[in-house]
Amino acid sequence: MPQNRLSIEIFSAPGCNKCRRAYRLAQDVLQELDNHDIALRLVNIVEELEYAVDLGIRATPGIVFNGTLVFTAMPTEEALRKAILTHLTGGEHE
Amino acid sequence: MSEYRIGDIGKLLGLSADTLRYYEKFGLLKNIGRTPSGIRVYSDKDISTLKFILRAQKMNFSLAEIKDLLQMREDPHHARSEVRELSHRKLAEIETHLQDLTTLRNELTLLVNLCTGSEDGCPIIEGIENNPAQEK
Repeated sequence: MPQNRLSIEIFSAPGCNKCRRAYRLAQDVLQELDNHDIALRLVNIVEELEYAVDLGIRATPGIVFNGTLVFTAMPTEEALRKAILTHLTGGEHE
Repeated sequence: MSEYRIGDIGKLLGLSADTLRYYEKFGLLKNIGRTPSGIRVYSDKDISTLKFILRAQKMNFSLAEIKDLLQMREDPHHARSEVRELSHRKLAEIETHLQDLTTLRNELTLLVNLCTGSEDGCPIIEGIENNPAQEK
């Protein structure tokens, strides 16, 4: 099974509207990039509280790239796209 | 240097006269001063020792263990090897406890932030209550 080069996790909680918006934003950006090396997952903090805390998440939404907390609040579309491209190119997009 | 009577200690640390007398009898407090009329007088050093005892008790250390640890506290260079070993062991226990507390603090911080971020109460609690995977 091929490994995704980038795993994106959006940490959400029940009733968190910003989290849903962050997830939709990520979906839109990924659709636009049309890159199949990226995996997107919505994580419910209620179900994975320990995992969220281990990653350093203290508020929602939290966005994690390959196990590293990258955004601690709702990013702009531009910031999210730039961060994704930077991770995919190993920093060359910065 | 200040002097304290038993009543002062009660107000400062919430310890009763009986407890203070017991600590002295048990050997946790040594060389407690007396007035000419025989009333106990405690020093700042005694207060510091009592605070240490209270902290150690919060960590569920026994009075016997605390007595040994106080030896280490009084004179670390000349403490018996068993006391040093006990100190190392207790230090390891505290480190583990500290890690547990840090994790718990971080979890509660996240939960509190989730609750304060919502205008409609606490979504995390509702989420937990509605989660069929949770034990009832």
